[in-house]
Amino acid sequence: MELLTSSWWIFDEIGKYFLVEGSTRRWVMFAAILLGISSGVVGTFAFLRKQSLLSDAMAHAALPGICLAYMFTGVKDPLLFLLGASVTGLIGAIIATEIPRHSRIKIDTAIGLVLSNFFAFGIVLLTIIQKNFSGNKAGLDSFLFGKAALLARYDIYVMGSMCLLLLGITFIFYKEFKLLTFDRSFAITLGLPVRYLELLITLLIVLAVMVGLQAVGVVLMVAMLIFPAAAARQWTDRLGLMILISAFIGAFAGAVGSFCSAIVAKVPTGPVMVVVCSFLLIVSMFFAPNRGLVPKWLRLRKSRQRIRRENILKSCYKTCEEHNNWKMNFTIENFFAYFKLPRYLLRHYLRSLIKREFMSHENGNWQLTEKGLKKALQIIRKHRLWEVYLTKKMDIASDHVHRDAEDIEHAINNEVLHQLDNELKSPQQDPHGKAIPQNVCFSEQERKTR
Amino acid sequence: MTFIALASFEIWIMVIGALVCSACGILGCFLILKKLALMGDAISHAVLPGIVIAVILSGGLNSVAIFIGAGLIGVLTPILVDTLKSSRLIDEDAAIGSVFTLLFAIGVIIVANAGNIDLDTECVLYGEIATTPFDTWIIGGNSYEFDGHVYTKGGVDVGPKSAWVLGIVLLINIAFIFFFYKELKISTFDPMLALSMGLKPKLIHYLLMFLVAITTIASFEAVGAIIVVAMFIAPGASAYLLTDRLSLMIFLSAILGAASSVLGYFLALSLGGDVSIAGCMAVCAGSIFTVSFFFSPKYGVVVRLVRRYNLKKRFDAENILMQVYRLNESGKKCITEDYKKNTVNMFVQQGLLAKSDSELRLTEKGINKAIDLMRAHRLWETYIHKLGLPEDHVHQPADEMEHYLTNDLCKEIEKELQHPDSDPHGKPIPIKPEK
Repeated sequence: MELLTSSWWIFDEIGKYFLVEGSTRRWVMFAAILLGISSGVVGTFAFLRKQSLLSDAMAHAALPGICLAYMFTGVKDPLLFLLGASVTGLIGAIIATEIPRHSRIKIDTAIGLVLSNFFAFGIVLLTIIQKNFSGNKAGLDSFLFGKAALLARYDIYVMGSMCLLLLGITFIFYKEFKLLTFDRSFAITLGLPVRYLELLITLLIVLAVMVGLQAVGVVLMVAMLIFPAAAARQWTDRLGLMILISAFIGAFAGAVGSFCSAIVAKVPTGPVMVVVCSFLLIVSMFFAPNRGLVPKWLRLRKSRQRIRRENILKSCYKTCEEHNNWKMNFTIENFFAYFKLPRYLLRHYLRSLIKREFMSHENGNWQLTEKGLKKALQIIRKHRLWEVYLTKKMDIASDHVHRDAEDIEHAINNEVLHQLDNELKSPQQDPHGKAIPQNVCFSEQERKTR
Repeated sequence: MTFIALASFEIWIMVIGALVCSACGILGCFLILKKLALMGDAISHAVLPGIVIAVILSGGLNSVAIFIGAGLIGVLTPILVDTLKSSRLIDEDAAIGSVFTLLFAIGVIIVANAGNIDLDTECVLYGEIATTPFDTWIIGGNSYEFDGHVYTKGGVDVGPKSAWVLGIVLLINIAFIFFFYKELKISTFDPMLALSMGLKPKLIHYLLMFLVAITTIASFEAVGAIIVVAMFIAPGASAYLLTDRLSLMIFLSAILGAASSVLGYFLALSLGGDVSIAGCMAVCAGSIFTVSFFFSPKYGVVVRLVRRYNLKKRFDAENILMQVYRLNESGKKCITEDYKKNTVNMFVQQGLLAKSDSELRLTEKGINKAIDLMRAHRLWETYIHKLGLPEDHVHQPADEMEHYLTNDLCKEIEKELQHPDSDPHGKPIPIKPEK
């Protein structure tokens, strides 16, 4: 109860967004969400085309454009700044892509050159403005560091229309962009104007960068392009879905970022958006179902456990075969001596074998069950058939095939097993002279618990 | 001739600028060659939280703590990028972009919340080289407090602190390159070979990154986080276009870096002196790159265009000579009006053609040259005909090859073909008249 009352203030703060007094906040949040959506959508293409850092160069190249726009007109109009910034941003992007085509300078060096030199030029212009234009550069450097909290309504109209433009272009050219991103050569053979389309994508990235500059600033803008797209990539292999997820993540980060900076003093919106995005990226990298590190690790662990279980069964079978006693009893010390595994792990595997009814356990003695024997026979059959295959079809010496078969026996499924058997005309003996167990059938019920 | 009188602080600005540019430039060579230019960019941004945390922990602008904090982050950045990259979930460029922006964002948030940190984000981004000469290092003397500030009285003024710091960093960089030259060279151009030779390319890589971070910090005060990237990349990139030798490239990058800082200072002076000097230095470094991009003797764009133009001109001229020869061969007259006036005049001047009335004739020199070309053409036709190409397919390749075949090569082909008299079309293969 106490916890509930102490967290009331959050609801208060949220409530304020819907009141008249929260109108500025609403606008700021709206702007941050717009920014998140546009950079999420465009960032997807930048990410997939490996142009993420090119957009960093574009962001830095915007500075001289903004300064020049102000120097020529003397007006602080966000639309004008946007225009100037887009022009120099586009020029910067073109230079960065052209340098590697005409010299032996690599793309990363070219990007670094454009980024730092355009920015330095911009700073020189900024200091000139400071000196010659009545020392007023206040509106200019908000472009650099981002002042989301100071966005005026007119700024947001500009941002909103830019965002709509971006979404519109992406929607219209979706198919072309998709083709260009994944199979450029095919796009060329289809007769698409590839150069112009690439220029269009670059222009889209430039526009998205410019939309965000005022809110998050030059340095962090590139983060808003990378993070949502990189996070979305982890969840899906489909472009359409990736764009949607990316836009959603961008919008979510925008909402959280502006909310945090509104209720906590001294927390700038841009950096919080970046931190939120990066948190989402980290979560996606770890937990996304297919590509995520944790699911991947779990899959690996599962198959490793299966392989260890199978190895235990197999070695039990071999010992039985040696002694020609199929009801042989094993003590836990036998296992400890044979497998170089930590004892607790071995106990764990033995327990799971019992759970799967492959082994039975009585008074400290382990024994293969009927089902366990069948399973072991199947593994041995895979192993020995593979050995035959390697010696007969691959001409590998019979003393070199064991190691390979040791690995492959866990990966062969029943279909492959059947084909191997057919191909080799059902051999009876492996290259070492041992008998190959013939087809072992599991009953329906036995098959359920592998 | 006018002399520009320079005050001592102006000279110091140039010296500090030159130290920054050359310390960064020589490391930048390796960044460029190892395709790590953007790692330099990333490190220069990512050191911000390192600085901020060091300032908070040490309770003031303690330069040793700042160097350590930034150096650690400097090594952490490439490690994080490599980890992200090796997870194969995102590509290298996205990995670099996400690591440095996140670290930078964290830095900005800490600065905004830490209250009274004496750290100006604007200064971190731009730098303020104009004030560095006045923060001097005084040996000896008595310090006293007045009005809350510490002043020093007496002692020997040995010059700006940043000049000393940068000088030491430059020396460390030079020593690193000098003592690990072999290791650096091999691990830059052939990491696999370095690994198999037991040269520890990983260690060298992280040492390099550590030095990049240290150099960045030393340069921060003067040029800021973004312009320092220009200092890292631009001199090295210019040098890369000028030479193919690593040692020369390193040397050139230091020279070009120093030159751009001096030029940059004069550019700033000519713009009125109140402009960002560091910015001007970077712009000059960029201009030097632009010049070498277009006019480098070996790799310059313009130089390559000129070379291509000259080659094309030679081909055109040779084609005309052969055309005249063919006309003469078939007994037709060659009319002057069929060719452009300047071309004909050029040949006449060179003594290859002679003009009589409206008819063009080959001079003896012209005939010799045309015979060489025709020989090459028809020998090549015969040769590729023998290789199996049908006779109506041999003219086109020979038309291109005739310009490249040298006399020695022609002799070898002739020997190979056992001195043929005619080409596949039945035309005679001309032989130069004996003198």
